[in-house]
Amino acid sequence: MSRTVEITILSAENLQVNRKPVKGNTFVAVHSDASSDASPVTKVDSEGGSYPSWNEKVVVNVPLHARFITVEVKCKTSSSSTGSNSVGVARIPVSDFIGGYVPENQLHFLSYRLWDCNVRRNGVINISVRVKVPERSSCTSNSVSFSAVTGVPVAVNGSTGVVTGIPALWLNYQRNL
Amino acid sequence: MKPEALPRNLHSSAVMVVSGMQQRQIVLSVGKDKRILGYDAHVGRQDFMQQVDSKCMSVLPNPHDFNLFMVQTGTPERQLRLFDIRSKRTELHGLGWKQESSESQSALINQAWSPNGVYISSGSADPMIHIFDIRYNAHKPSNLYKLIRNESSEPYGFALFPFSFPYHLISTLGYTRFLSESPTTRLLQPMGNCCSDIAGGRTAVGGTASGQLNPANGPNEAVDNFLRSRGYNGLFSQIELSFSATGLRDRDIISKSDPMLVLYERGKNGALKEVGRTEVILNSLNPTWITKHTLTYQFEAVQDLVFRVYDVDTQFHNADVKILKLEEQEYLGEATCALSESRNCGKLLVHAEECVSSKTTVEMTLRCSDLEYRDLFSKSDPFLLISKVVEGGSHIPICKTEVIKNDHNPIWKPVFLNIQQIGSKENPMIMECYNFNSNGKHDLMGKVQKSLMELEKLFSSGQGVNFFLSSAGGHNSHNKVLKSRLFVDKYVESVQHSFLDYLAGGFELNFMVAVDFTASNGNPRLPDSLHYNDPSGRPNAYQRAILEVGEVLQYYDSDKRFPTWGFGARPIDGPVSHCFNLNGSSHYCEVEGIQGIMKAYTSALLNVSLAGPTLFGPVISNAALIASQSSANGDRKYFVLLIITDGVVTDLQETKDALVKASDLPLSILIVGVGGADFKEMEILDADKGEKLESSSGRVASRDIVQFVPFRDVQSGEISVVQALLAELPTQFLTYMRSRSIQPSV
Repeated sequence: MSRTVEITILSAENLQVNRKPVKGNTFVAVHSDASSDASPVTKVDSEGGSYPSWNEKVVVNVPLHARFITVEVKCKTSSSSTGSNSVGVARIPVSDFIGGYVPENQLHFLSYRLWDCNVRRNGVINISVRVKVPERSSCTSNSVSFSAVTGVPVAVNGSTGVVTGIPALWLNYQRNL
Repeated sequence: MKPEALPRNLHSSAVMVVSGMQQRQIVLSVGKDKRILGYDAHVGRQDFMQQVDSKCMSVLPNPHDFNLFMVQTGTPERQLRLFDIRSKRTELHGLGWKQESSESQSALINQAWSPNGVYISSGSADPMIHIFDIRYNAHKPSNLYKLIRNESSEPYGFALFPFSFPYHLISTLGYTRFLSESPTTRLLQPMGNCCSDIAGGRTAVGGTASGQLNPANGPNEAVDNFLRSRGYNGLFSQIELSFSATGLRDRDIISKSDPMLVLYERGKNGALKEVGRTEVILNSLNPTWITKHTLTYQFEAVQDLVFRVYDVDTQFHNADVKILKLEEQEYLGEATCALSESRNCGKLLVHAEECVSSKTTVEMTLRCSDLEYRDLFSKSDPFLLISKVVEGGSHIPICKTEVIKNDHNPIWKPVFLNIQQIGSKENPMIMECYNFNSNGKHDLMGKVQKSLMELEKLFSSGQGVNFFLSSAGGHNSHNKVLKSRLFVDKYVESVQHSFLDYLAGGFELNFMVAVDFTASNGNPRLPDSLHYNDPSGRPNAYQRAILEVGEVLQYYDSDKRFPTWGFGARPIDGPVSHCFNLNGSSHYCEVEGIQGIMKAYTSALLNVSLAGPTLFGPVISNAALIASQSSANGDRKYFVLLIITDGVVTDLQETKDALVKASDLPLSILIVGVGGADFKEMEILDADKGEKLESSSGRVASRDIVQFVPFRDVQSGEISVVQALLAELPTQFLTYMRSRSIQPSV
C-alpha cells in the first residue's frame, strides 16, 4: 500500500558549497525512505545561481509506513556530463502533510533547512505538496461548494467505506480545548 | 490673571502679529524686521527663529497639524510661507500670487485655514479670493474665486468650512538632493574591487513573475479603506518613489562604483529604519534604479526619509540584495528629505508620483529579429530595458529583461507589467534594446516607443515594429530606421485581485484574541502593574490596547465575534493553564464585540491568579487548529490571532515550532507588546528583517505570518496606529491566496 504524493520543487535559497555561493547547474532528487523506486529528479537550473528555481512537479509513491521523504539538491559537476555533487539534503517528515494538524488533500507550501554532507546548515528549499486522495474519500476535499456540510457526508455518499479524515481531526480538536 | 512680560528685545522693528500655537506653549510673533520668532513661554526662552527675505505681515497656525504655521510676507508670488516648528530654519513651502493691481505685493489679506488644515484661503485687493492647497507643490493657488458682485475692492477674509473641493493630486513632486559626504572616511577595501562579477547584472529586474506575485510593494489597501471609512479622505495618499543619481564618487579601483540605494525612514525616536532597497547597478556613476518604493504620504506627519547610496563590492554580487550587510559595503553618500517639502559628492534625484491603483497585469513575451553585430568576436548579448515616459518628457525605467547571450533573434522570458507601474495603457513606453557589456557600458542597439495598447495591436496582427536609432546631433537629429524588429509573441492581461477584492468576494477575516496573564505583568492590585485594576475605572495598559487595537481590527472582522483566550494564569483551584477561555465558560470561547472582550477580561482578572511561565505555543496551536479545520472544510476564511503580551516568552523554540507549522495555514499572528519591556524576542518572531523562522526539526516557515507592534510606539487616535497594525496583514493574506491561486468569487 502506498500513497501518491505530488511534490512541486519550487526553489531554493542561499545554496553554498564550501561556504561559497553555488554557481548554478543545480537539480533536485526526491525519494522516500522505505521505497525502492528510482528517485525522480528535476531539470537543471542554470540561471538562478545560489537562488535556483525549478517549479517542477514530481510524483512520488510513499509507502504507508514511510516516515520521511528526502529531497537532495545536487550540483552538476563541470568535469563530466553525468557526475554531480551533493549540495544539501532535507528530510521531510510525512506527518507535515498527512494526518494530525493538517487538512488532507490540500496544497501545502513547505520550506526546509538543507544540511550538507558535513551536517552544516546550508540554504533553504521551498516545495509544495499535495497528497493524492483516492476518489472514494474525496468528499472531504476542499471543494468550495462543500462548505455547508460538515461531518455527515459519509452516509450521504452511500459509501460503505470507513469514516475518513474529518472526524479524527474533530476529536483531536475537542481534546485540545 | 496676572500678565507676564515676554522678552522685548527679540524683534528689532514693529511686531505685526502675535499668535499662540495650539497645544504648545509657544508664542509666535512676526515683525517688519523680517523675523519670525517662536518664544517658548513654558521654558522661557526663544525656541524658533527664522529670518526671511521680506517683512512679515501675519502668522497663522494650522488648525489640524499643530506643528505647522503659515506666515504672510511681502515677496511677490511667495507671500504665504509654510513652516514647521520642529524643523528649525527651513521653510516647507511658499505659496502666492502675483498681484496685478498692487505694487506692494502684500495685499493678500486676512488668510484663513480650512478646518482640515489642507487649504488656505486669502483675500486680495484684486478683488479675488485665492485658495491654496498646501499639498500641491506649485506655488500658485489651486482655486481662484473672482468676486464679481462685490463692489468694494477689498474682500474680507472668511473661514472655510469642511467642503469637498476637487481633490488636487500631488501630481509630481520632484526632489533633487545633493548627497553629502559621509562623516567618516572609510578605507578602500583592498579585495574584490577589481572587475565586476557579471552574473548579478545579467538578471532581469522589475518585470519578473515573482516580483508581480509579491504583493508587498504595492499600496496598502487595508489602511486606505479603514481611513476612508473614518473620513480621513485626502489626508494621505500612496506615493511611488523612483530613484536616480548623477556624479557619484568612484570607489572601485579599476572599474566604477556599483551603486545600490537604501531608503530609511526616521522614526519618532530618531532611529533610522530601513524601508527598502534597490537593485545593484554595475559600473555606473550615474545610475537609474528600476526598483521603486511605495510609501504613504501622510499629511499630518513630517516623514523624514534618508537615502543612502552604497557601492556594493564584487564578492557580494551574486547575493540577494536583501541579505547584504551594509557595513561591508562602501558608503557613497546620503541624502535626506522630509516628504512634506520640495532642495557634494553626487546628486540624487527622487521622483515621486502618486500611485494609480490598478489591478491589471500584462504578461508579454517579447522577441527581436535581425539585431546587429556589436561585439567584436561574437554575436551581441541583447537585453531589453522598458521605461515609461513621465511628465516633462523624462524616462523612468520600469523593468529590464534578462540578458541572452550570442543571439540576434532573442526571445526573452515573459515580462510582467502592472498598469500601476505604467500609469495607463495609453502611456507611451520606450523599449530599448542594449548589447550587454560587463563593464556596465551597454550599447544601444535600437529603440521603439509604443504604448501597451499599441503593443497589444502588434500582438494581434503578428507584425513586428522596426527599431530606430536617433543619430547623435542634438535637436535636428533624424531617426535612422533599422532592419531589426521587435515582436510581441504573447500578450495576456490578467487581473490581480487585491485584499479588498477578496473581502468583497466573500472571504471572511476572523480575529481571535489571546491575553497574557503571566505574573511578569505585575500584581493587579498594584498601580505599576500592567493589569492594574484601577478602582477609579481608568483603563490599564491591556485595556487600552484592547480598545485601541480592537477598534481598528474589528472593522475588518466579518461577524464581530471573537474567540478569546487568556494564558499563563491559574484559574481558581486549578493548575496553570496556557490557554483558557477568557469568558470563564468551559464550552465556548467566543465573545461578542470589543465590549465582550473587555467584559471577559475584567471578569477573568478577578477569577484567575497570575502565574507563569509565558508560553505562546498552546494559544498558537489552538488558533492553528481552528484555521486548519476551516481550511479543511473549504471555508473561505482567513484568521488573525491577536496576542497582547508584555513580551517575555519562555518557550521561544516551541513558539517558533508552532509558528512554522501555522505558516501553511490561513492564519496571521499579530503580537501587540504592552509595557516597557525588552521586545527583542518578539522582533525575532517577526521575521521581517532577519532569517525565516526555523523549527527544531529543520522545517522553515514558508511565509511570514507574524507581525509585532509595540503598543508604546503607536499613539492613540493617530493614523499611524492603523498603519502599524495593518501594515503586513494584506501582504500576508495575499501571499497565502495567490500562492494557492485562490480566486475571490464575484
